[in-house]
Amino acid sequence: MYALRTAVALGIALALQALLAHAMGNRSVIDLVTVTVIYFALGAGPAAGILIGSAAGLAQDVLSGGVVGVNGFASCLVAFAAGAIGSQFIVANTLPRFVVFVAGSALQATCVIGLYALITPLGFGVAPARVAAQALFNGVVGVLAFQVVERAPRMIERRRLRRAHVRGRLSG
Amino acid sequence: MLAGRRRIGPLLVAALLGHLLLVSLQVNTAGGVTVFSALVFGAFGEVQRLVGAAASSVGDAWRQYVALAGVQEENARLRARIDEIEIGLHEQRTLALRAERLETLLGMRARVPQRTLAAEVIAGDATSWFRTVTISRGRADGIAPDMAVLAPQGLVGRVVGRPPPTAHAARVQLLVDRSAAAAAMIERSRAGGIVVGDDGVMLRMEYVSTLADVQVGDAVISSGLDGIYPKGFPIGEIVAVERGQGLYQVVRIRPAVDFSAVEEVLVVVEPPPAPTGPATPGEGGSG
Repeated sequence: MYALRTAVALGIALALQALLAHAMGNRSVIDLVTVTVIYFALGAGPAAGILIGSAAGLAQDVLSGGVVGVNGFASCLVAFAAGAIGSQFIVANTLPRFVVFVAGSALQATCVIGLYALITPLGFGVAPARVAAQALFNGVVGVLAFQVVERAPRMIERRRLRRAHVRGRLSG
Repeated sequence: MLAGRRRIGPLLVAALLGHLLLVSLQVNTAGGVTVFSALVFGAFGEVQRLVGAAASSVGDAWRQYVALAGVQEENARLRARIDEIEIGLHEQRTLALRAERLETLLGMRARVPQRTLAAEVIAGDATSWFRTVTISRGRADGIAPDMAVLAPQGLVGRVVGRPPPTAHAARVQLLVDRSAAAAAMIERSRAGGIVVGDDGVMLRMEYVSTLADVQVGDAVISSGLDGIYPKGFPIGEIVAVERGQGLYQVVRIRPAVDFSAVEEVLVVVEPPPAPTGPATPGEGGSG
């Protein structure tokens, strides 16, 4: 079930990322796929994180038209680290989560840039400021994702209860 | 938990390597081939190099050790060949030395007035009491007892009658034999005497007057008065002069001939002429 949810989430993240990149052109500073990878790896552990990261990265590579394996390598590494952290520490508060997302995003971007620098003569040409910005934004998005996922059911329940209460008063 | 951790490491490494493999399959090197190809080629090249080195080592070992069996046979064959060549060389050297000795003998032959016959020393004495040798000429060659025998260095001895010469061999009594004797004189002062064998190695000159002028270092030659030895041939050199009993002095002589090394000799087959006066070798022709 967790795998299915992960796969669906990754699919959605890939689709949204593609839409976002199309909408914002080269100015997009959010990597939703990386956020999703870190998010699920934190809950799944390092072994599953390796698979999640590899699958997500490879999908990113295939869809992006770049060298297949670069994002796979980077996401695999990041997901493994996130999974290891999630299994060793209690990452339940906002700040630790934010740090994990920021660090994971930075590591992912660094790996991608580093690998491209190795395999292409001109490198990737990404400014460190953009890497930092993307890491920060990813951190924010990741924390928000946790908040949404954790609070959404209760909000929905409260809303359902409130509606039921209003309906009862109206009928009564 | 620990087992799970142990499984994760290889999984992570495998996943990362898999991604790198994918990357390398797509990325070209400066030479135009993919990194994967270059890596595989490089790795395969290393394997080839190692295999080649191993094969080379095995080949070297084969050549240097296993194939030594053939080398050993060849070595033995070559060693035998070297032995043959060394023997041949030794023979050639011996022949050259013999030719040299014969040449010297020939030169001496020209100096001997009488007819001579060359002979080879073929044996020594069977006992240690006498100093005799056997030569390769006998009755068939005209050899008879009391014929003088010469070497390029000087007098050697005489042919003895006991045992009598055979058809192709004769016994020669050396001058150093205890019972040998020859008429002699000191070359410088012309003082005469009789040279006899002393101890089998040295000679002694007897009947030399105390009035005679004798000095250490003087050469002693044959006087020819004995009717056997031709006149004027070296006998030896005086090494000591002692006062003897009576009217004579004792003169010790080192022989001119190394009797242990005589190989070729000349036998004077014609008796020397009766002494008529002083004469020197080389006068007249040889036989």
